[in-house]
Amino acid sequence: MIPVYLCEDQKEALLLLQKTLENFILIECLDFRIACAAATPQELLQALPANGCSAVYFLDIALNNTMNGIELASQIRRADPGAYLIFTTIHEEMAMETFRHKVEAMDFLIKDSPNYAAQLLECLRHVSQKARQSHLAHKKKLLFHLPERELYLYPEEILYIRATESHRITIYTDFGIYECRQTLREAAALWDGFFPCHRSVLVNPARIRSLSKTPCQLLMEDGSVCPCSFRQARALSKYLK
Amino acid sequence: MSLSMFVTNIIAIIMMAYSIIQLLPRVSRRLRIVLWLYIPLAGSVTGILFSFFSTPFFLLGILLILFFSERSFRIWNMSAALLGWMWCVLSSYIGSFLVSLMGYRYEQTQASNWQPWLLIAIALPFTCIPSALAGKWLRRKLHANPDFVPLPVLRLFFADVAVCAGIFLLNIIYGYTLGFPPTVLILSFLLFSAFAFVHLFLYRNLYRTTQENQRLALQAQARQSLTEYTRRLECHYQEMRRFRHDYMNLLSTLSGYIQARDWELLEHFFQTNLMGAGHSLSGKDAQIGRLSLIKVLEIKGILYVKIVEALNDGLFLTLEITDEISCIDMDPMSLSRLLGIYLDNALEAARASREKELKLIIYQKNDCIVFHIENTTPPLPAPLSQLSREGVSGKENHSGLGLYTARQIIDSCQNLSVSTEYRDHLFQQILTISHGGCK
Repeated sequence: MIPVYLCEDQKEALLLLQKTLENFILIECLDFRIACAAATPQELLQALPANGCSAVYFLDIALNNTMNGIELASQIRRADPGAYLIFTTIHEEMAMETFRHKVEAMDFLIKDSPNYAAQLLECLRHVSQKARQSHLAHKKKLLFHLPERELYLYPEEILYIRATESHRITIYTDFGIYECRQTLREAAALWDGFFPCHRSVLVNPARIRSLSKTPCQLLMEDGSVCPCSFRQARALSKYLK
Repeated sequence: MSLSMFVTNIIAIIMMAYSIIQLLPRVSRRLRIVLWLYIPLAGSVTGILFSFFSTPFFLLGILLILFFSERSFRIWNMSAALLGWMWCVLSSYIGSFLVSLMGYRYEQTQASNWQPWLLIAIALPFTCIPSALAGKWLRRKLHANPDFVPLPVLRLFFADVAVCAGIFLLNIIYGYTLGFPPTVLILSFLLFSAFAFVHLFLYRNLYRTTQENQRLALQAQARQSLTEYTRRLECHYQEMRRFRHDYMNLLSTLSGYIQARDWELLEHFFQTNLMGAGHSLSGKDAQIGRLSLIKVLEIKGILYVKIVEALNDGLFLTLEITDEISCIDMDPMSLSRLLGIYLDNALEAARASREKELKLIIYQKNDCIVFHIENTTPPLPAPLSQLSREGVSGKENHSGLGLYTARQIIDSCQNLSVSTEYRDHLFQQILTISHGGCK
């Protein structure tokens, strides 16, 4: 049961939102429950459990409170790193993209829009699907601390990790290259499936396409090239068998 | 020639090889091996057979080998080799001068057993340590900025170094024919030291002046784009005033129709006039106004230029700046160059794509300043990790040097980190400057 938290300062809007969501949950047999329908951010924060459970949060941007949406979102993130944040607003805000990146929101919904209800349902479905995927997979996500946000990656998404100078690492995945202020040793401790194929490289052996001897390097599944040391090449080919 | 003289000669030539090679800014491993073989072998063979008369050819050999190094560092390498050799000569003159002060003459040194060793012991630290340090400094400077000396100045420098080397050569050969009496040693030592000091002084000043010139040129550029920015802002202001004026007129006309209860005319008037008024304010200049929150001049300048380019190319630009950016914890010039490179790439990709979208979002988060560049792009030619290596580029006639330079800047700056994402034809570059606020 994934908990759903609401925060909306207008009483009627709050009740309406709660009713709409409860109807959807019932009709579509979704695995959610309304944990808290708060009128103020403080009330919401008090209702949060001690350890995060990747809950869903529907928050109004215009809260009419000393705490604004961004602060509330960052506090929720601190308590629940895997939270799904969905913001509702009356009209298109001025700086939607900035807000989205700052709070890492999943979506923005416009209350006045005619398909507001349909969008609410879509959000619930999306979260339900994501939760099911990660549950079925039984896999732990690896956490990397980027300077501006936390990055969660499945181990199989990572192609290789390379250390650059001054205690920084670069993580190469299918979709992106990320730089992060951690050491290679810390990264190796996150998952035992990494293979140290070079003094400064950890490779995910499952993503290697082929190993070439001259020059000594690894060809990865997406076509990229990963450096490999001579010494480890032999160990690696043994490991791969 | 005595045995110890022979051995010390070998050591001396190895010392010379070390001194020259350490000073070279950029040589491939292959060339380095060739030089390590050539200098001792050619140096000792020709030295034994033809003595100092062979030195010109020996030097030409080194220059020829270095001619095959990387093009952009060729002149640097050749100048550094000559400088290394001249420095060797100078330090051996210092050694000889000191030895001659103790009363020994050149012929005695030739025949003696231990005097050559003394010479070596004096010359060794003098030659090797400064070379190694100077080489390290030069490599660091060139790594940070490969064009810190403009090409015309570099060519002049090489010519100067070559002429000085020629003068040194003549002096050595002449001194040798005279038998290196103490007077010659002293004079040569003084002459070459004076040469060295004057040149150092000259080049230091030249370097300072070039740096200053570069800085001023960049400043002038920034100022020019700021002037353009102000002009645009003022245009926008005028347009707003005009719009307000027209709007007031329209309202009073409406009010007239309402007072006269002329509903049909009112409706007609509303449909024909008011619907057009809303579009007279272009979104263009409103976007540019957001740059007012960037207080760092160099950044404002480069962003402005690129935004105008995007708007002129008809791209769908989203610009969001909500936090004031007044100081950044890195060199603004480098950041400006970096942003220029990334925005150029983003503009080019967006232009070539179907959707032609470009988003630039700048904000502060977790004590960092984040520059978020998002653009639509046609399919990438190579996997993501290959794109930042030298020589690969998404463009047709481009050398791919832009991203390589970007990499140099990122590597040289502690606070800076860059993430790249590519999903569903959307390319994102996220530049983060940590400890963004200056304390």
